[in-house]
Amino acid sequence: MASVSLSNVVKAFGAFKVVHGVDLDIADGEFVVLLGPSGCGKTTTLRMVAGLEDVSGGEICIAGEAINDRPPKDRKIAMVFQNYALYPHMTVRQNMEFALKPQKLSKAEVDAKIAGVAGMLGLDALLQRKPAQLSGGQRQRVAMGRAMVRTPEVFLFDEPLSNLDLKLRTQVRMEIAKLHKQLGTTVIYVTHDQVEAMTLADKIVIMKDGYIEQIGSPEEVFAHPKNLFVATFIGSPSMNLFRMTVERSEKGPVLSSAAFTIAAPADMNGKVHTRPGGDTRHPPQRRPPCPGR
Amino acid sequence: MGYVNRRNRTIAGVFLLPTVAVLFLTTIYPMLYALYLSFRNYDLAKPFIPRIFVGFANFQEVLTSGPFMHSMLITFKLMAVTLTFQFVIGVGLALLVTQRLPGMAAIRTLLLIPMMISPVIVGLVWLFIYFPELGYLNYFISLIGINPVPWITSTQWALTAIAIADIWQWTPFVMMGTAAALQSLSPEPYEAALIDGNSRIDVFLYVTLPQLKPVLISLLFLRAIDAFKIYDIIFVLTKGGPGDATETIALYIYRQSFTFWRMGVGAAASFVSLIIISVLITLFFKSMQKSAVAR
Repeated sequence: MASVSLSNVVKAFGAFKVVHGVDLDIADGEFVVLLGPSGCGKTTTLRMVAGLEDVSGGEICIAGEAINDRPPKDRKIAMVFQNYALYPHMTVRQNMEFALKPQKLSKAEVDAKIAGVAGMLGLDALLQRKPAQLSGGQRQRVAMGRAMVRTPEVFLFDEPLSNLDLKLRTQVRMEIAKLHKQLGTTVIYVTHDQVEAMTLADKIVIMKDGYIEQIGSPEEVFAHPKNLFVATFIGSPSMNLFRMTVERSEKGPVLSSAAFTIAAPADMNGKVHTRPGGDTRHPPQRRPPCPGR
Repeated sequence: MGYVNRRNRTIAGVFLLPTVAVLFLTTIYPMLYALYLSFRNYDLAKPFIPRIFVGFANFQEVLTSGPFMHSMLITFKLMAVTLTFQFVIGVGLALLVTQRLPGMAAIRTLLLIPMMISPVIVGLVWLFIYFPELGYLNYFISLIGINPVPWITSTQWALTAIAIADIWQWTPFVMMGTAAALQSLSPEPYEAALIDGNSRIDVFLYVTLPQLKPVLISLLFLRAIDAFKIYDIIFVLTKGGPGDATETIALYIYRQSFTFWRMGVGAAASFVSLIIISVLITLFFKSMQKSAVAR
């Protein structure tokens, strides 16, 4: 098991920057979800940790060691891909054996490892089948099994559930959560599905356009979004936003819109100033109390 | 069958007629005529002698004749050598040109040129290269102090010389087919192997090659049929000689029919080789189906 840290990690394709200086600390055994809309750089960030993309700037450390220049195989990671990435012509057992081949274990050790993982994931009955003979959920379990046999220090998941139907997604999600509890391995998990993020994560990293918008526990990002993007991105239905005007009243400043007026939050006291033009505005940075509830 | 249906069929038949006529005149009729000839004693040098029915005598002669068996041996020898080299080099080049490196697209196009040249021209080009006294090859090896080699005039070298020319011409075909197949493979299993740390050789042997197998079998099948009837290059370079050192089945048939004017024997030899190549095709198809089922 290992901690992972990214400091000022940058990814650029030529002059085009897709990840702009990401800082992130992941504790040993933590389940971290990178969440964001398509094209926000989450997968690229994950692939940089995996070593499938070069790092254009900054440093990635796993277990305290800088691994920027190490090949993927020397990073003690395992990855589960969105479309499973199974070897189509090999049986489930051969898929796992091939993943173990570089470790040069004895036949008995390989068999023991495969038996252990197959038991844990319920793959025993499928070991002789080929990927084409498996359902989507089974394939995903095999892909996880193949990652698990290598007993990595960090698991990387790249949108592992996006190709599954809703029911299976819920089921496999629970399995992933259970496995994480059981194994206690550090996990970095990329998804654009906030339900996955909210249910699985110890810590959610919300990204947009290659920047981290907020890092926090699911409760934190839900209840206390740091900015407008996070506020509208998290939650379904998403948060209501109102454009308010700050006005003076006898009881101090109030926020008012056409429909309602509420007292301004206490920490805005003394921070509101009137412009010469009479335009007093304060962008709604915090979740305003919902009048309807 | 309704009126419209019947009418459509008639119209379809009318439109198909020209094609059927051409096919009949250029393929079916000559083939049937050859079959007819293979049972006759037809000597083109004595065209006035009646073409009497001789039963299986021509076939018997072909199947028991030393020269035919020799030509068969030469054909399969040449096939084995050329196909082996074409596939080893072709797959190697395909792996190279599918790498994302600058200039690969241009190199790929250049490598295809031999395939686009007509075989007779390829023969002539290699004739210039192999020519005993004035050829380029002997000139260049003389520069490094090696004595001139009688490439196409010695029984020792002639078949090798032809094999080299054929390999040069047809390796691009294997390369092109394999490269197309390589590019259609999904990249994720390779990334998985990269993370697992599998060696390049293991990845090639256990991931790439098995996935290429169906395509390679198809290519092999096409190349084998082509190699079996190799004619043009040999005709230009050695005409089957020296002696019968490079006489393949096609050359044997040509020699029987148009040098010795024994049309009956030539026709019989054609049918024997047709049967051999049909058996080959069937075997290839069977193994293709097997590999398709295995997937």
